[in-house]
Amino acid sequence: MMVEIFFLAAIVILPIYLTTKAWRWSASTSKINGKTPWSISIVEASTLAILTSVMVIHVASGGTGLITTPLQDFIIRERIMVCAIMIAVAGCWILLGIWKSISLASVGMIISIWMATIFVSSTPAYERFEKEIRQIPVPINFTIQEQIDDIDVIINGVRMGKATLHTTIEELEAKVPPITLSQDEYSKGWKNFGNSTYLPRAKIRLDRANEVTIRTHQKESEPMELYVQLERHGQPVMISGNTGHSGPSRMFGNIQPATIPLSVMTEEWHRDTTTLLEKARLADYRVDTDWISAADTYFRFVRNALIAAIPKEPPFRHVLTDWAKSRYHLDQVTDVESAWRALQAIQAQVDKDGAYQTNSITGDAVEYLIERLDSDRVIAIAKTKLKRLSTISAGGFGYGWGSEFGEPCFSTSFQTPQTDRKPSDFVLAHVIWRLDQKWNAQSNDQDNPVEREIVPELIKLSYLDPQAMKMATVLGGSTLNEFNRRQERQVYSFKESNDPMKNEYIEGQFVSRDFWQSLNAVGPAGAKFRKEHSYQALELAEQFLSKSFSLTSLPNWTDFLFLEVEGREPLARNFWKSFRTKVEGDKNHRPWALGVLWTYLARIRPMPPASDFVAAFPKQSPSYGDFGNPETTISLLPVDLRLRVTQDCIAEAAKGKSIHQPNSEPYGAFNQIEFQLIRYIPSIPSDAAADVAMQYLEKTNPRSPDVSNQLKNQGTYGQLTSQMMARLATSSNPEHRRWVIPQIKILPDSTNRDTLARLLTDEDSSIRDAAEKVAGDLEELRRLPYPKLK
Amino acid sequence: MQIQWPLFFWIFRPLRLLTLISSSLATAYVLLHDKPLEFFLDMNAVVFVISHSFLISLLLGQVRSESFAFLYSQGFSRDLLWRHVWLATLASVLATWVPCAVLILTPLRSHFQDWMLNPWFPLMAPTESRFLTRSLLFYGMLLPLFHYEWIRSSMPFRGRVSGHLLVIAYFVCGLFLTERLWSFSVDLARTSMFLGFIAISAILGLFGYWLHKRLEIGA
Amino acid sequence: MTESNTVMETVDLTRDFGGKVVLEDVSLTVGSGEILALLGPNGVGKSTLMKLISGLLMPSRGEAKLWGESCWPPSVEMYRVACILDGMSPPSGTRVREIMSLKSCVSPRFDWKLATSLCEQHQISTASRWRTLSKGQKRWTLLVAAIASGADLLVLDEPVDGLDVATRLELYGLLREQSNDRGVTSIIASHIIADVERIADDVVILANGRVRLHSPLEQLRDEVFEVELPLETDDSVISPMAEVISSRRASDALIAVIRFRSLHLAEQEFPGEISRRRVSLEDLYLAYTQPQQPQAPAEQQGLANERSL
Repeated sequence: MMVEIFFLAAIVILPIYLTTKAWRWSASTSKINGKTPWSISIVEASTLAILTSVMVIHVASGGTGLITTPLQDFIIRERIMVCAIMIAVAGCWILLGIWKSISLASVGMIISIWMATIFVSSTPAYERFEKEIRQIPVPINFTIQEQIDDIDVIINGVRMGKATLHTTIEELEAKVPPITLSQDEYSKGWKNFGNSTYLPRAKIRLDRANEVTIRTHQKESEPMELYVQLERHGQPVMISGNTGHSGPSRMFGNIQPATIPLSVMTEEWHRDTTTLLEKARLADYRVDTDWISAADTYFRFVRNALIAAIPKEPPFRHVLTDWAKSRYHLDQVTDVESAWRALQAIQAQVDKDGAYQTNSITGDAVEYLIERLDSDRVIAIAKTKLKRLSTISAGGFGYGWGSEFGEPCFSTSFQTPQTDRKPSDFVLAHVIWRLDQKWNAQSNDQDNPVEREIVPELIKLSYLDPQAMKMATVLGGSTLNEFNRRQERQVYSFKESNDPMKNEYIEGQFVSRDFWQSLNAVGPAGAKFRKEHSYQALELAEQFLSKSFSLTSLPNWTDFLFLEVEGREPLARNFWKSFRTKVEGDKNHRPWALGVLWTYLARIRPMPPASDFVAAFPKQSPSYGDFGNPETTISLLPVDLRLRVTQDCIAEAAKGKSIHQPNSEPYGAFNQIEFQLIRYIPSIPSDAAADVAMQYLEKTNPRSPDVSNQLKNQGTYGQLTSQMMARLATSSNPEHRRWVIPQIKILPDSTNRDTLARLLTDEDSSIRDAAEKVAGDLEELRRLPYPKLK
Repeated sequence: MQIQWPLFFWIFRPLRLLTLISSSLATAYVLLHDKPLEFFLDMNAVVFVISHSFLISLLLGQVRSESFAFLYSQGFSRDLLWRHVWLATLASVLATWVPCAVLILTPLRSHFQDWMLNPWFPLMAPTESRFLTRSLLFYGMLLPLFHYEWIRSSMPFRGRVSGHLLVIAYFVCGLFLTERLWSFSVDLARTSMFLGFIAISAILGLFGYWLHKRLEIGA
Repeated sequence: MTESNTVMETVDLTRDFGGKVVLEDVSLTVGSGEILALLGPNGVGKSTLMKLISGLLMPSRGEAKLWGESCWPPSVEMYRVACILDGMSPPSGTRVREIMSLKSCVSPRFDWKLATSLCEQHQISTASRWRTLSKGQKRWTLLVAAIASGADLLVLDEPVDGLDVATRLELYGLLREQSNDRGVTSIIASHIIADVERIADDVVILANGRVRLHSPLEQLRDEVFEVELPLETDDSVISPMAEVISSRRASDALIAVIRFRSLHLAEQEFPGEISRRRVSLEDLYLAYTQPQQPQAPAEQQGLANERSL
């Protein structure tokens, strides 16, 4: 800020002041007598001095002289010093200009200022500054991601204070003794909570911020090794995994503090979180205010657990919605006005948080409001906002595909505050997007208000900001269709220049922006374009594949292939052969190959037959790693396809060379992949899958493995489906009926509770007792007060 | 302000050809350019305005010519001449840009581009009025500077090249900062830089007026 | 000449160009209705003086005033001044009508009728373009514009350059008419001394950037003579009654151009036995502007001895 004020003063105020002075003198000057009038000399020399100084400061600081990021005191001092030298030199030359010759003074001024630049930029000068900057403390912050208060931070055995801990490298070096622990020592006492591993201490390697001065000047040095332990009310708190390598930087005049986020957990917190989820299940995913107030105390734990559970238990979405309603008082929303107020409250919260994403409680609250808002008002406000913007891009803004196929989501976070854009603007974007979807579902014959009012504004913005076009293509409409129809496209898709107005940077290459946008356009216009330019589209995909192939998951650039859902030969289907050949030929990515291939297939519409999935299944299996986790990918397929694919793959796997000795426990006659797929079958939520699983279980299949252990211990693998539980409960084999009882306890929804009720009257008394115990436990769970964070 | 039409036409005489060419070029460009007109993104427009302003000043500032001396020896007050120099300047700028403004605002350009199946039209038509205001603002910044340059170089005292030096410094500094000007995260910095350039132009405009009163003819 | 009658006045007017003094300490006064002839060799500063008077140049020192107002910075009502200066001409494509219009625009008293008739008399169409006119026509057009403008002061640098004899006479008639009828003051720089003699009221002769002579022409006729003096004539005898402008030695006499301060005294001092004849303006001009023959000390001594005789 100081630098800006300085420049403001130098550039605006000083010339105006000098001019008024000069003007006053000039008014009394009627004769010039061959000498340059003072007024002219002063104005010219000072203007030249200021212009040259600004230019030189800009150059001397390597282009950072006018960057307005928060500067350290040192940098400000240094710049002010430079400026003072410049002004002093300029002043001398101004005086010379007045008494002698303005031309001579001007030239001299420029030369001397340039010499000052060279001096300031010289290595000795920088080394002096470097020495000084090293004395400035470099801040390190230890934060708790879950935002739990009252946690003590202990580093290398030294109690440093409460989290969030604000310290410095210098303080750490002074207080913390250097220690080195072996892997076994520091990970001793680890525990698994859910799918994550937590350790009693986190190991952090911290760089010492050697990049000093305005120029990049990197030096190597040993990082500090820190072992962080946490305690709350005297009890140890576990920390998720290895927090890894981190460090502050002093690059380009900024001292960037290192922030070390620690994700925490204790047995009690995990138990309480699990209990809250169990009680929600028991309440058939409809939670009351007490549940919500308890969940609020464990806010991030419960939210994370719910979001993690939703893919397997979609009804948890209701819990999130109920929670969102309560959190943002959405029950009070009765009319458009109250809905509008609620939206504003959400926007205020989002701005406070500095981030927004659709897949969150806040996002759910917005989803709830969409139906209740005055859509005209939303559109009018969004339109006005868009008209004022020159870009919609924001730090970390992304619009992409969510975990569910075909379901886009927004996610945005702002590193630094923007004057014209706020995170809350993306709340409006979310509403607009959903309104468009709603209206399109009602009638897609003519443009809806979003397509009429918002899309044109986005297209206008896209001239300066390609992000806007990305959003426009999501919304679609006749304006966009016409725009795409008229776009002048270039057949040659790869470009060499980095002109951002013409080209887009995709996968390390420049692609014609128009072509790329049209290729990714959603809606009839996009479909038409892709159909007309399928050859170029496939050629582009080939080039991506050949030039930038590095797969661990399905790359984003393939998105445009899946936008074509109609016709006999959609792009993705056309490209499948090339893609498969390339993926299968890539030896470096074998563990991911199956997942990538099946993910690709699963996104093709119409859905490919099971035979295609099976065809992509590795025929020869040199190692188990080649398969990855096929069941994970299968769970992404439509339910009706999962069983067929699983069964066909089991048959295919049977042809492969067994990794394990057949007939050894627990695989029976199956190799490991077959076994892995067979034990996945009970997790497929369909009656047919349950029947097949029962066949394996009852050994009607002569080569059936013993999957009973898996059924007994589904916790490590995946929950049984309600259909499977119902089958097991009615099985003639009492063992099967017995196995299902603990499973019901895990997933006590109303269907499974009905199954439990049947087992309460089982002919086998031991089963009845077990069922009664579970029923008792469930009753106890029901009566249990909602656990809150103490 | 009373306009002396014979004087105006006299001063405007050297600008006639320039204005005709610039007007034709600008009109054709505005009509035919297929990308939306955005002043600072369109280097053609920037170069055009700089060249046009420079040529106007160059043609009006032929201080050493016999015709210039003739005009200034006819007994007109310097204030009247100064006003008419600016009127002629304005006339050349307006003659160049009024047809463009008509094309943009009516919006004939938009209709034409729409007819040519340009995807950006008519969508971008409302945003193009900015192009006009920014172009005119740029003229407003440059013309005092260039006018000052020729007047300063004709003054009978030392430092005849300082006007040229100022113009060079102004442009070099402008070039250096243009890139930064748009990437500033804080408006204050951007605004102060922009105001700085306007302030310099305004100051030079004022002193150009002052020096013009003392311009020597036929020295 | 009363102060209110003064049209132009210069006081110690000096101008240098890059250190070279062109005009130095020029102090002149011109009254209303006068026709002042500025004479002097090339480069003596006539044009500079005229530009300074017209407010086109800035004095290095001193001041030029018109009607009591300083000419620099040019703030007086300059439409009262019409000047035709060397090195100033309209653009070649300009029409005569446009020149007149421009002049009419600056001067509220512009006489279109006079301008048109004077042009027509010389077969100059107001629709003619400047480049189609002959040198004389161009000069005449500018003169017509200046005269028709109704200016109170005409500053004319070589006004008859390119004009034939008849037109020159016509011009002089016009200037005299303007002077007599309207009291128009004219300052004319010319090398055609015979013409100047015909029209001027006052004469100024510039030499080496300074005013060597400023006098009414009539007075010069009465006061300047070429005399033949004995070789031994003493300067101290002449000084009280006359100014020796130039002198040269003949075989038996000293021939000097002398301006008598008192004619009566002169007649007493040099009765009929000394040869005395009137000089033309041209001779006077030459006497003022040609470099003085250095007089040998012996000669000077001789002149002194003669006078003492």
